[in-house]
Amino acid sequence: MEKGFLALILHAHLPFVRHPEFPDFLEEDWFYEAITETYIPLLKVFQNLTNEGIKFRITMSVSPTLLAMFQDSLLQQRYLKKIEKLIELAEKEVERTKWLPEFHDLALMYLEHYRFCHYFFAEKYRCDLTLAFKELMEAGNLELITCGATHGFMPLMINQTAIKAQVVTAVQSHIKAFGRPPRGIWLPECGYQPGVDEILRENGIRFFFTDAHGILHASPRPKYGVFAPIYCPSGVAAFGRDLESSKQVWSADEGYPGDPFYREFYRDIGYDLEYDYIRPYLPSSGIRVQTGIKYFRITGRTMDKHPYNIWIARERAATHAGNFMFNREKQIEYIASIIDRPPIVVSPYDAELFGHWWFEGPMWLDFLIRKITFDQNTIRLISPADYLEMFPKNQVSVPSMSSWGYKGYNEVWLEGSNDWIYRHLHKAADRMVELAMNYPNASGDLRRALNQAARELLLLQSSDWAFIMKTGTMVEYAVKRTKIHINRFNQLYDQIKYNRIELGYLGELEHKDNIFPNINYQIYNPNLSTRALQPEVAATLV
Amino acid sequence: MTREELAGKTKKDLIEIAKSMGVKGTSKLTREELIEHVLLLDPPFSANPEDVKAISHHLEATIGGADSIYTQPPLPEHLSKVAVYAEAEQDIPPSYNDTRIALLVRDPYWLYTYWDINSEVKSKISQEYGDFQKIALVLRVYDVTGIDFNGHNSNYYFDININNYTNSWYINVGNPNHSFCVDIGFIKPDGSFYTIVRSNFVTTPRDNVSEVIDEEWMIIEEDFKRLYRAAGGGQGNSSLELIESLLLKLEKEMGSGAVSSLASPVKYQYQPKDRKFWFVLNTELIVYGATEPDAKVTVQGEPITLRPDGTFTMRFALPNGIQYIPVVASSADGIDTITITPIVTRETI
Repeated sequence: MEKGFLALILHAHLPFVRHPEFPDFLEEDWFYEAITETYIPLLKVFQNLTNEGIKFRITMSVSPTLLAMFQDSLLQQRYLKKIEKLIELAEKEVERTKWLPEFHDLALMYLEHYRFCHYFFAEKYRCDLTLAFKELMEAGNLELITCGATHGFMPLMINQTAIKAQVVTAVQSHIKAFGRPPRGIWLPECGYQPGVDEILRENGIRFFFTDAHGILHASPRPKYGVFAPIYCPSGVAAFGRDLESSKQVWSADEGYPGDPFYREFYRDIGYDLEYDYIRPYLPSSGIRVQTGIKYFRITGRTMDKHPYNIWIARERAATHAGNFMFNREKQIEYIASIIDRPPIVVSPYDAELFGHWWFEGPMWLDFLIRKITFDQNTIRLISPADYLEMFPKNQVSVPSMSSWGYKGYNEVWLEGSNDWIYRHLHKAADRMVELAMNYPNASGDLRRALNQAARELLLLQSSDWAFIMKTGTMVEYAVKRTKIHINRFNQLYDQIKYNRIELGYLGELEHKDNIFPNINYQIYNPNLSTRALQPEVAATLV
Repeated sequence: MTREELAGKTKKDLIEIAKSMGVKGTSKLTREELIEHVLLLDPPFSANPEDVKAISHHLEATIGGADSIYTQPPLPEHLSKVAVYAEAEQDIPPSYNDTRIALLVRDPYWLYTYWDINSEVKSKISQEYGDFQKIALVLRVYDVTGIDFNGHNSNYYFDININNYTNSWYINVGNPNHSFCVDIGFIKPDGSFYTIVRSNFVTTPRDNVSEVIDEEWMIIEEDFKRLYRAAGGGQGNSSLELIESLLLKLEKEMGSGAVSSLASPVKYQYQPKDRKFWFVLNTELIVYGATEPDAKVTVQGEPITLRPDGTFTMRFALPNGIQYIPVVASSADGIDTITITPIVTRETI
């Protein structure tokens, strides 16, 4: 009998980046790279475990923007072209490295992986990877949860109806992709403010996560700290992040991904190889970028990097998985000695850390799941929903406003580089609510324009833009995206309000910003209850 | 290969597979050990054998044909000329000509406010109190914790003098778990405060554990400290030390949603601080030639594919040492064979 539980949470999210007006677009590569390096490797690990009959529970949030990109036919086709190019490049690399055995083996590994990706994507799932997630959900091994519709950061929204719209749209897109409503949500950036849980409850969501201090600083004081959930007054459960297990993976000094035998992210043939050779695989502008083919290991604090060896790295991943498991066992034994119920340790990570940043991450996860299954009896993998079924009685307390950003509150998304956006975000939200109330039953072109205005507002609210402005890479793109959605929203607002909708313009926006095809602008009408907007969810609410 | 597939094979097959992967001393190993060895050595990305067949079949059928296996409607004509990043698309209004002040929480100690004042309101004020641009604007911050604020009953308030050229401000309230709102206005000649507009109400988060204890869910103080420490609160003994070390951990940027942009979450990269000068030199060798288009050509024993016109190009990274590169061309009927063997030496001094 286990002494406690481990809930591993992978948060998969990318902002909606789709530019049909350009033949290729640099920032779209985030999505293509993540498919090749993170999503397919993770899905493969989970599928192999499932095929071998290993029972496990992993919770994964798939953000609605990511779902929309998975299901978008333009991006699907562009991914296929990307992976074809990568296969071609890897074939050339296999030949070029013939006299360098260490590199040659790696080139073969990449070639094999890219060929597998092409098959997995195009043949097995007919270009729609949401089907692979759905399969694993149906097998009972993945608990799929949702996120804010466009990853809008809720603690910095004032208009409650705008928060509601983020949640309603998220739940709708989750149901459309996976056929059932999500039981939980990953609040964007782990950003919680008291009251948001009431909106979650109305949408049938039973649990969410906060960072450690969100629970530790809850009031009344939570008896079990972060090692058991608390119920918000709304009845929605809040689980707190465990910092100890996070640190082992995230920390720059102590984290596993910094191991000298692991693959070095920054050395990529896109930068290293002779220009004319690599040119066909670079963006049309010709700037050098990452291709994904990397031959070196981290080595140490040196510029003189040594060749990567996958077998040694794999051994390290196995060792690190063992170490992680051992530490969780000790942690859970210790906590179980203090509290009078089996503790739950909640370890959330960005999914894109695995594979993309930490190349060995999917292997590590594979080893970890196998070891937990076969090598010990102290801990068991669990999803928060399962935990709530086993332990339905929990303390009622109000979590503290918090996020998992630097310093734990809202500063990442509210500081000198990005604070200018909020007057526009708030204004657009208020205007959208005004439109929804003024045109309660629109039809035809007016309805189309209202729906498109809702899309522009949602895209504007992505926390990614403020985040990128703060962190300082790709800032120009984030600023442009913000300004463009402000502009498009305001154009539509004026056109609707002054009754001169330009159909050509509207059609163009519908074509470009085509996220959430079934959106209903009435989600912005504060007088309409969630039950009216979410019949599927309403049916499940008691 | 999966465990199940391997379990279905004979020991002889397993030995063959293990040998092909370079496992030594296979005859001494038991079936189970062989399976473990094979599983460990199975390349991390390799698919199972069915997949390998399926993959090559799939690729033969589809590669280079993204357009045909997945068709995308062509871009409507009117869109192909639209420059999405036209400057005009980035025009945003500097102001919405509202009279509004909004208040946001940054952290337990700081708030952020922005405001906008309608031009009519400004001219009305100007008529009564003189040129608006010359009026000294003031932010009046009210602590409204636990009260139903009516404009006069705040717990306390303080004023911040601002200039007319800004439209936002960070306010240090230094008071966690308190509620605030803010007015923008000015001090009238009679000393009273003129409120132009009032903000929404916000509450700063706690920076500490709650002093409220629920009797049904009591825990002794010492045990709670242990839990707090185990949750990342570190080794501190006083609750203040515990909190400080928790906050310190949070500041280490552990998973701040950083990868959402695929921007670097953690810098593992070694960045030399002082002198940045560096130099790299590599050599590659290009081997190219031509023969009859239907000829068979091997390079170092491996067949290569000719272009339709019979030419070919090979490119190799060239390490130090000697390379013998026999290139053999044979006519389609197998009668003629010509071998040319360049020998290339690279030395680095």
